[in-house]
Amino acid sequence: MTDLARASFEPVKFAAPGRRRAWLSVGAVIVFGHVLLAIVAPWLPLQPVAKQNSGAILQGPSAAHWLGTDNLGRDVLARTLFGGRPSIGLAVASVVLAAVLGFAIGMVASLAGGWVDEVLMRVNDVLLALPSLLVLLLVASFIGRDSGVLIATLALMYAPPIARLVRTASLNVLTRDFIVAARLRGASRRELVISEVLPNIRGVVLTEVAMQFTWILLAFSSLSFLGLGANPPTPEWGLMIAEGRGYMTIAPLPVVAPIVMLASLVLAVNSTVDRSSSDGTP
Amino acid sequence: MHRHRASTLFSAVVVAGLVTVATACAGGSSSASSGVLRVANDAGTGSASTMDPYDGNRFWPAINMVFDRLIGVDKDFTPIPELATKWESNADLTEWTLTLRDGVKFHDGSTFDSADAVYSIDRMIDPEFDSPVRAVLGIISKAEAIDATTLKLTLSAGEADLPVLLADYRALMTPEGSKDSVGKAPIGTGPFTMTTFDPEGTSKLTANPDYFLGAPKLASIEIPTIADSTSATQALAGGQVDLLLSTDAKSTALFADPAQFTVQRIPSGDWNAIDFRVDQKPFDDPRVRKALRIAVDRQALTDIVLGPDGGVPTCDSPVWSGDPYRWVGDCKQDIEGAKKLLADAGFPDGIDVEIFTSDVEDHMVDLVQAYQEQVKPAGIRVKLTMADASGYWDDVWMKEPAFVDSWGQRPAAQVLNEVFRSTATWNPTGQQDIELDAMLDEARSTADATQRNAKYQAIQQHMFENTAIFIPYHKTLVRVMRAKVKGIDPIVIDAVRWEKIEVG
Repeated sequence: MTDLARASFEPVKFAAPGRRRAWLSVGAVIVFGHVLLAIVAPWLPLQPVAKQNSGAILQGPSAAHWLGTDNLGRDVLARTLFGGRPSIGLAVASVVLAAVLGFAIGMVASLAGGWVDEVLMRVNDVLLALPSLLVLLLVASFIGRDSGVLIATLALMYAPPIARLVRTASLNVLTRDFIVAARLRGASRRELVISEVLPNIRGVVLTEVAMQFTWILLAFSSLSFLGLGANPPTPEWGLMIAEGRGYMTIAPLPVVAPIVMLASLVLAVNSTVDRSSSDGTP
Repeated sequence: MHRHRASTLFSAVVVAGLVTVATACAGGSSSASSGVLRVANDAGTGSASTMDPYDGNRFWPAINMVFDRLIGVDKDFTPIPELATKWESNADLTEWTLTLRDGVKFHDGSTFDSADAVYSIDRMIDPEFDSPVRAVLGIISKAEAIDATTLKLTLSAGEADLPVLLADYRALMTPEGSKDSVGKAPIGTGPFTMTTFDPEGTSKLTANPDYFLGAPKLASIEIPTIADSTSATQALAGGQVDLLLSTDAKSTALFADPAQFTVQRIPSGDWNAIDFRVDQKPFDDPRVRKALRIAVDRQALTDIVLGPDGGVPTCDSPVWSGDPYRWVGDCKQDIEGAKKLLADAGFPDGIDVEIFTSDVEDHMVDLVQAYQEQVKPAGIRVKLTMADASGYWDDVWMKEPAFVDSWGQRPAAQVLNEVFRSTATWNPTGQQDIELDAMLDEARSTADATQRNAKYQAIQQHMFENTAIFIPYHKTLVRVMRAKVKGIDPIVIDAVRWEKIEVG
């Protein structure tokens, strides 16, 4: 059992000093900054994201355009800051849905056991075996690319790892003495899950959910890069990279800026998760 | 100490070896560049490519190097002799007689004569083969060899501009009976013979010393395939190729140094459009259609989509600036006029329009993005819907209510009949304009050039009032080459004389 697992399967403890350290890490600050920028972007004194300028195409940084302009003369800074809104919003919605789905499937499988567990886990294995980007491409091509469709598909594709982890973690907890004691005192299944199991698997599950968030973020950006995610003229990081790559040698910033934002968010989430896991706190 | 000496000696040998190899490479490069022109080719139709000039998958960079037409075009697109030395028609323009050049040899040594010309034209107009050239020359109902150097063409209707249509870059002459071999082992009369045909790798051509217009100045031409346009641009910048036949106008900043590169901007007849199906509401109302077209600042839109100097605005006419029948209208942005037309049509609060597009070709997505911004003040709210590139021409084009279109350069007579005539197979909007059909019939069968020109002008003016096709611009092709490449005039590829090109 890893340190992470051992720490997380112990009955819940009060926060250790490490928790504060984790949430104050550089990664956490960057994640917070990203989320804050995505929320406040419409109120910042930026150029309109869709405003085109035929006299300022593929220009370098200037006082009017701090990060230059793209191939339609649009402000790269404004589009980069707005670019996090669709990606982060869609990734959060998808990962929340994936977490709910994964938790429900994992808990049902671990509590029910027997053929229910067998059926749920085999279906789970099938979903795990499917290449998620390929499924996303097929769905976007044949069903559509509305946000609802993409969120549902992403949640379905990224719930199985969470379900498997929840099942494994809860099976581990369910054999512990404090669970036996709770059962002896007549605790219902609902009480057992909410009061005993959930607090003890929260750490590993949140870690997994955070990891899945970064995968979903990258998957959606990849889909946009391939032309099947966000619709132009929406500012979205993957789409911005696709639109700017043809002119990268003349004007690199329309490509570099969204790459930096995407990479920094993914790295920051991963670093925060690593930090909080090694601190033994969720 | 000995070890150190040995090491030094070894290093010296290695350095000397490298210098020798580098010198050899430089020498090879220098010798290659003295007589070899390397032309970048995009992936085009990939492994399906063929050297059959009448096939839809023709390997376009090379067909005009290997084959010749009956009639060519000059720098100003005037028909000039190529394999035919003169031509004349009867009074009603339905019969044309062409005199062919005597003594012209194919690459295999056989003589080109009228039987080859009949064979070639029969293949172009064969309804079963359904060549794309048929859309241009389908008006020819019969080709006959009168004698070895006299060819008679009978048309189904009078066509004053047949010589212009015969100058289509695909209307090339192939040897009689060559249909099974021409695709992979082409035999033509052109300035270069194909020695290696590899459309996914590098195709190679060598000079034809017996070319009837004079031996080529180049020893050979190589055509490496570079699928990605960014890579092709880098290949030219890095000296791996000498010539990019076409690149994005916005990329020319890379080639700003005139000591290293020559950039040619060539007005062309290629155009993009947004088509509105007239059998779908609200586009069945001509007031809505006109509002959608006049709400745009065409110069600004052209500059945004194609870059500064990237194109020439047009008032919904597909007839380009180099065509003698070009109509120059006044189509300034008219927001108030558009609002009024929409209000009259029952849309006082503006209108919502969904336009389908795809990145199947350059500029198709940018066009809708620019259009979307331009028409906002008129209350036209555009929803851009991206369609899958792989099925765009089959599932979206001519099917959705509003969609982006793309056409290559065609002479006026051809493009007006091929796209706008009510009965045309490729009439993308389904518009049935009987008055326009009659005007087209009258124009093409008018023998007097001045009267014919006036009729074509009237046709385009009529179209501007009624059409369902918004055509904002004709593209300016940007051709870039290393400065050492000489002899390529700034004219469309159809008119380039490959035998006159040299590499310094």
